[in-house]
Amino acid sequence: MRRKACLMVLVCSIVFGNAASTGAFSGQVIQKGAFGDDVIELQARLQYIGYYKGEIDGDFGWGTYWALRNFQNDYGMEIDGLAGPETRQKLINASDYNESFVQDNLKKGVKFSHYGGTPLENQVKEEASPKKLRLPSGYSENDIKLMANAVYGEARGEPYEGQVAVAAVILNRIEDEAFPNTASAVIFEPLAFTAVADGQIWLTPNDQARRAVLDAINGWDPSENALYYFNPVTATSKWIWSRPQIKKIGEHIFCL
Amino acid sequence: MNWKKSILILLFLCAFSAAAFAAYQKGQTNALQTHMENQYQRAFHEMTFQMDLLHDEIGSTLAMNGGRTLSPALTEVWRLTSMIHSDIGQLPLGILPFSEMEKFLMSIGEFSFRTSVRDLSSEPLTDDEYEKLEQLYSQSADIQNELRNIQSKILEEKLSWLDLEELMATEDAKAQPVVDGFAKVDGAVKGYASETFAPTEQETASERRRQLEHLEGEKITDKDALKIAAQFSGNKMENANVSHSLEGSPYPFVTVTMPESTFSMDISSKGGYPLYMIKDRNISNATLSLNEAVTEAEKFLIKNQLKDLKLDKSQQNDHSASLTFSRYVSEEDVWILDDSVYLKVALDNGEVLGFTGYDYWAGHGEIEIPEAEITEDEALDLLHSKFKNEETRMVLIRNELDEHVFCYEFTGMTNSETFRIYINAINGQEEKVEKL
Repeated sequence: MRRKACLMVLVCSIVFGNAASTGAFSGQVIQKGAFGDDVIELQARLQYIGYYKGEIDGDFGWGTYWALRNFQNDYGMEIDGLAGPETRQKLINASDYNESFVQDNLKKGVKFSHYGGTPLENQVKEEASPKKLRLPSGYSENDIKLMANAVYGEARGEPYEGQVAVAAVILNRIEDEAFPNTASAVIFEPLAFTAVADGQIWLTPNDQARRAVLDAINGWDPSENALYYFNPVTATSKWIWSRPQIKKIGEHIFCL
Repeated sequence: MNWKKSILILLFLCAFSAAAFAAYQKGQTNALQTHMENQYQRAFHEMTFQMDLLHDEIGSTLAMNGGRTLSPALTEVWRLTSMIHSDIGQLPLGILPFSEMEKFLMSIGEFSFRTSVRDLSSEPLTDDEYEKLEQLYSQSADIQNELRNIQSKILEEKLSWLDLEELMATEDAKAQPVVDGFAKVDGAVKGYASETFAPTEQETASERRRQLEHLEGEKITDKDALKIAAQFSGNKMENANVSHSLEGSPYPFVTVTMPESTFSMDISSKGGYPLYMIKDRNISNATLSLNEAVTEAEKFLIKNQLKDLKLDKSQQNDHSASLTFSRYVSEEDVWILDDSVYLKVALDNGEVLGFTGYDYWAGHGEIEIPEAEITEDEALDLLHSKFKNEETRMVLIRNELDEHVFCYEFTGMTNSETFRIYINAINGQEEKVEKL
């Protein structure tokens, strides 16, 4: 369970909406972990006055956090890493924000910066900026896809919590010393999952299977720490019946 | 009659191509099967070979007495255990009771890793540890012999793993000498593990599972469970089902589900503690900010009397927020990072869609917070000169040995990357470094 503390994140491509062209913050308190137009403006403004040197991507990560804190420190505010009304106002007074320049370049997907004092047209590079995905640490996009495939292949007819439970079993196995240590090795361990054996793992998973995997990664475990599960109607192995059973969800019995 | 001839030729061609196609397919299947079989064979023979090496390597560590050659030898033992572990993972043993063997290997690995990273010239192996190595030496000989037996049977009888794979799932497998052999190895190893490695040495995943056994309180009825679920989640329990944990669960619990609204929740039978809650629904119009979601989550925690929790991490997802709240002792300004709850908040109306409380309940109890014996400045001096500290917290974490340790948590930058470094506040040891 402990591992899960650090795995709070979700994968999603960042959607850049069309904000009003006047470009002033929407009024929300912006905090670490947020994403969207307000974060883009925050990063661009911090970059304008030289605090933020990273990429303007709308993702409030550690780089933005330190930049904001340094700004708060230098401007004599409480250093809390939150962009509240006072911080935003001081930032607006101290910097400029060319919203159409930033949004256009984001749409084009090229590398650019937004420093003050340098003509903006000199700050755009022809290079494409790498597409960003927000992933739980320790898992790659491919791991998540693979797990979503396994969950869909194994449990697509099951209730939602049953799907989360199947994903949780995969994660519990990764953590357990008697099983391999990576998602792919656990899933492709011979005879471990029927969906792998009969090829159903290669069906295209739906969004729900993916959500189930992400919920499991973020710490949810409806299986109550199970390592195995089986369908009592179709199970061919007698051995599986000897495992201590924890819980029944849908058609599956989960056991230790 | 020309057309008759043509039809004959056509028929013949059809039959011929069908036969050719069938033969081709059969050939392909055979080729695939041979390929699979070879993979299995490779994994198995490699495993037995590595087991030989492991035995020899443990033997040579016994013959050494100094730190200089011992450390590399122990590292080699560690490497071999991990290779054998990976070979086992490639064999079709998924359902076969071979897990004790893997656990045993992992304990050897742990032991050799821990001793190899130690400075053996200033802190040589203790008598206890030598004795352990001797035991491991004789035990690995037994395992090696058994595996050799299995190997010779496989070679003699030209056994195919593919056939075994099919057998494995059925009751007949018991009579099969190879399957029987594996079961025997596993059984023997189970004994070894308990006689060589005291169970306190490492907290296994299965032990962690029992951490909720200490929850006490009145046994709740189904009616209570429905009431708790309604109160906790703020949802009306309509067409709800109540079911109970099965007998193998280390702690009994009650499950409340509402299939129509994909809601499910587990509540401990003793005391009615909420273990987890989840609700899956479409969130279309996300209007709340992450900050507002945190406010909603805080209200939820207060409403449900989950106390002493403070926001540790927050992350905005497409239409929801994932939040981690950790236990915070305000009088001492100390975070207990293990005792966390995780919340998922919908960004359309601020509804709490998910809650996980295992870690919070597992650690729930009095924890003594020791006095720091080194100051923050002393701890900072222990860090790399390139590390620029930005934020300091006092925290209780679990280290690699799964012990509670009291630490300074420094978060800061090295070059442009953010790292988090934990320095033990009692002895100044670097407990953990994380890249964020």
